[in-house]
Amino acid sequence: MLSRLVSSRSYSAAAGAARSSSFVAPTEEKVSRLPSGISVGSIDNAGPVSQFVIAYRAGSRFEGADEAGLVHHLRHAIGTDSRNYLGVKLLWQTGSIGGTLNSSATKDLLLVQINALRNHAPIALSLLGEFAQPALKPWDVIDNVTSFKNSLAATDPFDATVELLHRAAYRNGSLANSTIAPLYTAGKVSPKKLAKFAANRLVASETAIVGVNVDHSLLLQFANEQNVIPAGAGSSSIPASPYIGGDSREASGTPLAHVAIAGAGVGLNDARGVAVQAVLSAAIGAGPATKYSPHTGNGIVTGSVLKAANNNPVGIAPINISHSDAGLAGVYLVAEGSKIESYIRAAVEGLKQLASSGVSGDALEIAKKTAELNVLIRGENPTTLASDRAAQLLASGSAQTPVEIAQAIAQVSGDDVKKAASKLVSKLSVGAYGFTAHVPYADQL
Amino acid sequence: MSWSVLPAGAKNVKFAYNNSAFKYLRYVSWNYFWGGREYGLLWHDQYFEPAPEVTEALRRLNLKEPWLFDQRKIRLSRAHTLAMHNETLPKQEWTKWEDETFYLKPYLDEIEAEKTERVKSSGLIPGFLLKKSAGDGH
Repeated sequence: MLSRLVSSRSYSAAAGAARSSSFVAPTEEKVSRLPSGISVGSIDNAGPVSQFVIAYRAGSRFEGADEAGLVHHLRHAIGTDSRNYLGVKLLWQTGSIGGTLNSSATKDLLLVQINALRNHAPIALSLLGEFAQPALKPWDVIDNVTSFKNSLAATDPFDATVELLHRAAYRNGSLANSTIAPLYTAGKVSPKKLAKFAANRLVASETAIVGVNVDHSLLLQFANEQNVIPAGAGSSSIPASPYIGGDSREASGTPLAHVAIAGAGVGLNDARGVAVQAVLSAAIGAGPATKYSPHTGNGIVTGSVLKAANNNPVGIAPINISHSDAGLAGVYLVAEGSKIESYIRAAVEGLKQLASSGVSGDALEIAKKTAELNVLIRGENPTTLASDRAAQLLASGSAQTPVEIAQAIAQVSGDDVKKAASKLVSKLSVGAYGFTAHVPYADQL
Repeated sequence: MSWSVLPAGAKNVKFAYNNSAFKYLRYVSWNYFWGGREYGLLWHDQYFEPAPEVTEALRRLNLKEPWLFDQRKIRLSRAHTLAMHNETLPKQEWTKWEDETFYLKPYLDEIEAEKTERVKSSGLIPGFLLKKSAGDGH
């Protein structure tokens, strides 16, 4: 089934790569790097809807000590006036080509995404260029305060837990900077500070432009002719952030406890390690995919947690996070705050069992197939396909298609998974949100 | 000739009509057809503040260039004190054409562009143009 998707790969100038004939249109993916520093990538599935993303190395890890929460406000400023055009005009034109604008931020990246019908691709690209360089006028920044407060109110507990996990794992390092700004920054962010951060980070050599279902030549033409992204390099190199491990918790009003237990993983610059971490997280397991499913989910940690839960409700998901140079792998649990302690201990028991005896035979095969499936399903969504590609380009300069990652996963051995699991349990971090009174600390596990 | 040269402080200001006839008219109106010079005011000090566009332009001026807003406040305060005492400044201290900066023009132009853009697109009225009812709190 995988062989039906033929990927032909070429780098900037080479055009005539051989394609085998197939009744399914072949996928073409290309990567270029321009002299201005912009990385350009494209994947052409011959689909009718194009997806574009401009990604900057401007995530929360680049915030200075006095700039906490700046990236969250910058993300909210996407969609406002640019230097030459009013935001209202740009948004209306986006709507008129049937497009949607999204802006998101991770610890490494600030992403601005737009999609449109394929024949409107040139307009969508120029709109995206304008959106990706907001003028950050003081009155626009003030107008965004309400939407910022609304976004805080709508924060997922999972996201809050993962931020706490990063604070626990990286302490004062750059990867601990939260992508969710604290409430006290509402109305207090100086537009000058925002503009300075944007001028430092939203520059050509920190940019990747990725398109799905678009001609590579169109992206190259746009990247060469555009005059919105200023030339230059970011003012500082990526601040290193070693894994330390520990605890961070935040109590809140819910009776549930959301707990993330994780250890050191790998970053996107290690392509083989990413494949191993995918298999590891599939071996850790997940809860059932559907409601009321009689199937309780695969995975060693899932098994031990469900046994400890004894038919009480518990939510389990693996944590599989890869930033550009570091990552986290582990498990996320949600349950009643009063019952969470035994589930956490069972989860850590499962992780230690993974580390000591590894996975082999059927369990390894199931984990590998599940990991492949997850990667391929994620690659079917053009939004995540484009943003994953941009993240890979900015992390390592090259990118793998989902098919290539699935092939790498098929090569993973039980030994690799065991090594990754041992690294995981050697120093654990615990991030807890909600009813945290019964959540044990990392050194008690 | 001083009428054809825009004052140095206004060199970034764009006027819609800027040929020689309009420059001359602008100069003559500024010198003879308003009374602000003798109170030390600039042209944009006299704009009708309760108008929604002017209120919004002044708010933006305060956010982006607060020192200009402060200088405007000082000029207006001095002018009002003079007017209360039925005095004017001595002739040497009247505002000169070279000191004129049409400081509100960029903001007013942007507000007009936003209004046109809203009409051409969604038709939604921006907040500063909505009528305010009692007890709004803002």
